[in-house]
Amino acid sequence: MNLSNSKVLILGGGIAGLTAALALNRLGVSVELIEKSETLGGMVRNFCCKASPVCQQCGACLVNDALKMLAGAHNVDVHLQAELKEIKMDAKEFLYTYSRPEGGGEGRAAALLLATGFTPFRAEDKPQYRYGILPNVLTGLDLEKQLRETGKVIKPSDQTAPQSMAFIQCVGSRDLHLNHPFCSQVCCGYALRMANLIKHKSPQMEITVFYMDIQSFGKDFSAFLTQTRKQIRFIRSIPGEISAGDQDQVIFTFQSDDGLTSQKLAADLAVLSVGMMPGLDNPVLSQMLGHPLNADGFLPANPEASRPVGIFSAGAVSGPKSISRSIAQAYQAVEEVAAFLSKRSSV
Amino acid sequence: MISLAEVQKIPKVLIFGNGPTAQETAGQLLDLGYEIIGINPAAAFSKDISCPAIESSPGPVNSDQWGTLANNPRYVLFNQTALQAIEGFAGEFQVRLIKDRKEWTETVGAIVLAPELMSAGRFEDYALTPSSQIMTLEELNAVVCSSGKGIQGETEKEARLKGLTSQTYVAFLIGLRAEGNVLDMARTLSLAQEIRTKYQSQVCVFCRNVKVAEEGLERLYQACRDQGVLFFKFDDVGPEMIDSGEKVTLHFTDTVLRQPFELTPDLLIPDSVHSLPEDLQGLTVSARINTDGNGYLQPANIHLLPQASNRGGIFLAGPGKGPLLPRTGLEEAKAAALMVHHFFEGETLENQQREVTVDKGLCTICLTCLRFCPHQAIGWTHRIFIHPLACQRCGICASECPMDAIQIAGYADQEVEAKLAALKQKWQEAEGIQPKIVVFGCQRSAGVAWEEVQSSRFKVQGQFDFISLPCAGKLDPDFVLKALAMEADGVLILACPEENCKSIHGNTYAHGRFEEIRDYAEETGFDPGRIRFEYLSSNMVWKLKEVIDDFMGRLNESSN
Repeated sequence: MNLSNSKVLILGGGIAGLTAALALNRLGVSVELIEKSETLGGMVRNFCCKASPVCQQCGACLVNDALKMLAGAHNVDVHLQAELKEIKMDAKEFLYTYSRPEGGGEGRAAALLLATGFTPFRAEDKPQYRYGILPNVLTGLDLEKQLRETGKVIKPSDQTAPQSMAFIQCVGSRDLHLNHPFCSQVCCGYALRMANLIKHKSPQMEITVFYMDIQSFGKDFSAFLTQTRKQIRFIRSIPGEISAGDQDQVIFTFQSDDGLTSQKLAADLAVLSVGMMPGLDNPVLSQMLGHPLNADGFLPANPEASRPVGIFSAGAVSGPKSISRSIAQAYQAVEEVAAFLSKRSSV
Repeated sequence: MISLAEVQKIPKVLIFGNGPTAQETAGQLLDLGYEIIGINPAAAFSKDISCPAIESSPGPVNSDQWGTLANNPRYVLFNQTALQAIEGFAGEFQVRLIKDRKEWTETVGAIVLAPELMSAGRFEDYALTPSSQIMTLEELNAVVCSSGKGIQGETEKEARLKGLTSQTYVAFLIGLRAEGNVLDMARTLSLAQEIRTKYQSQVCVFCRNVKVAEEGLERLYQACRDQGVLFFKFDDVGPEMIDSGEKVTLHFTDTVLRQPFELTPDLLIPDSVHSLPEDLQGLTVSARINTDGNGYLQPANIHLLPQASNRGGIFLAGPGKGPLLPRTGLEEAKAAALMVHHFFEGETLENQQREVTVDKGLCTICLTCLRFCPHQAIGWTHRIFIHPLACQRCGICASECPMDAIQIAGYADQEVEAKLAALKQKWQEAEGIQPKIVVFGCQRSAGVAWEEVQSSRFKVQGQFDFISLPCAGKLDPDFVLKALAMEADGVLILACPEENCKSIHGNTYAHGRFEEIRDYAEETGFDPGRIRFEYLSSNMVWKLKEVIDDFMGRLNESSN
């Protein structure tokens, strides 16, 4: 089966898009990859290594592997700062145009693979947590970036190391008030792994995790959680608010077990475990492609029946997904593309 | 090494499994044009009995398409057949099979292990004994979700289900005595909803954590709550179970009301124990296919994502890797099919093209290489051979070989020595710049971080040079000693973090050799502080900078 005359258009150069591009390239399929931002690697580029000292299987380093392999790949044409402007399907191909700061371009592709990813929940949309107002309230993504760039945790108020910190899980996820009846699937993973990492670097740090339910992730999860519980305090309650304390501390107000009285906890730093929301471009893409959004605003990968012919998807464009799951789905999508192209070429 | 041109890839794939994942993998690979041997340990494929709420994605399993695929002349299926042993190498495995006491061998190019798990009620952990009050999650799922699908022998359980009324109590126990999982939770939620709406029974779910990290499950959980299913969450082992001999009663303190309650459910459903079938556990040992801490397929190593095993040509898909939703199994089936397709038709990866040689004159067939190879790529007849499709070019064997008989192109002793000689030359030209440090590191982790450090504006006082290794496991003690002998002030060794080595143990072997060299240095009166070992991943640029700074400082201190 020779697919080397085929070309696939990939939207998005994050972990899913890169993995798919490489997997297609290995089959000899040409790829044109359109990425909106200035760099490849997507959100994962912001994430830190969480080895403490043993690898916690977050997969953040895998994007470097992908980028390294991409540098050696031929037949992958990457356009940065580019956006899809128009796309239409004739009898056997997609015809598309894209824009770029220094002039756009146009092309033809036999299949389209959506890998446009997600948007982190805007922590400002939960005003009770005072994100952007109190300096020592961070999001999980802010913390990832700090650790990625410096390897340290810093209180923004005075640039010193905190002595205590607390994570609030499910910020923006599993939230009926916001009409977000879905779990973001990654926040327990990143919060607990970062908590372990910080504890490994600073054994004196007091770390609390406010949660509803701890979700499983990775292999050997039971052993992981047992180990984590030894060094992290878990409180099953989601704080109603964060307020300012003395010396730039943050104060969490939460319900006690009985559900009747409220309790307070002060810490140097608050970390909001923000969830994965639909990509901002999803509505536009949906309209452009005639591909309906699901009830949560994602572009569903399944069932195939509701998806226009020749369009495939990988990663968080279809719903919250971990790095490992995005990689698996990129392989799945490329397998579907290969089957689609070979069927088409045999007709 | 046998050259790539000499080995063949038998264009035939063996798929082992007894359920939807195996079927889906077969279907996809037939579509891609492969010849398939299906090995099913059971008499027939287990049916996909997902409830509507967690319906699997459409695939050949659920449609009439499967019938067509099963009749494909390229597909041969053996039911009730055991996989005895896997011998040989990627591209040409000899697989020993046994059916009705008849043994035979098939030769295939690649293997996909796509087993279902053995699932049983968690009776022992809850101290329960089977009785008419208790039904396992699997049994209940089969009765509820297969009604009309004609599964035999379920009539007695069906009758018990039909006896449920609005006056009866149904209790689920989930994740209380062992960590829960998304499969048991998805089943519990859909069954709870079904029983609640169909029979109006009082349904209570006793659990530790509601596992909803899958598409649609939070919605289902909310729907259950809206319909009046009660959830009791515990931070410990949950209700005490008291068996009166006739019935089991649950005693617990309500977490919200702080009051003691007791409940004698009419139907009690414990969650499940899922394990890899025993014969397959045996096979993973004999074929040296690594498993995780729970005995499921694929160890905790992100470099094996999505469906790779530690062995070339052997792929893993579906629940055998640990409990998952049926639809995830189907996703994995497709991903595995692609990996098989890559193996046969994909472009050869750059490192796979490197030549590995065994010097017949030096090799004493001591088999050290064979024992150390994490990929089972080495065999022997009257001489040692390295199989090019199984070999990942990590170089662990080359560094472990006591005779230095094994060399990898690009990283051969002579080539590394030439790099060191070039450094010496460079140092002589830049006379006076101190200290001089040689860094050995894995190209995949340290190499990437190194490039980023180089391209940033990071400046140090001193000479700092990187020699890339295919894996830290290719670090030869000789390299370190030679670097020191040519007046390097320090040697830094960088390896991937523990349990993050693409070659499984390359980083630990490197660490072991570092300790040896350091001990040796100490014994010979040499400052062991001049040799340093660090774990580093590709995205830890900050750490590389810190380590460089710190090491420079130390070396400057000790030289002053």
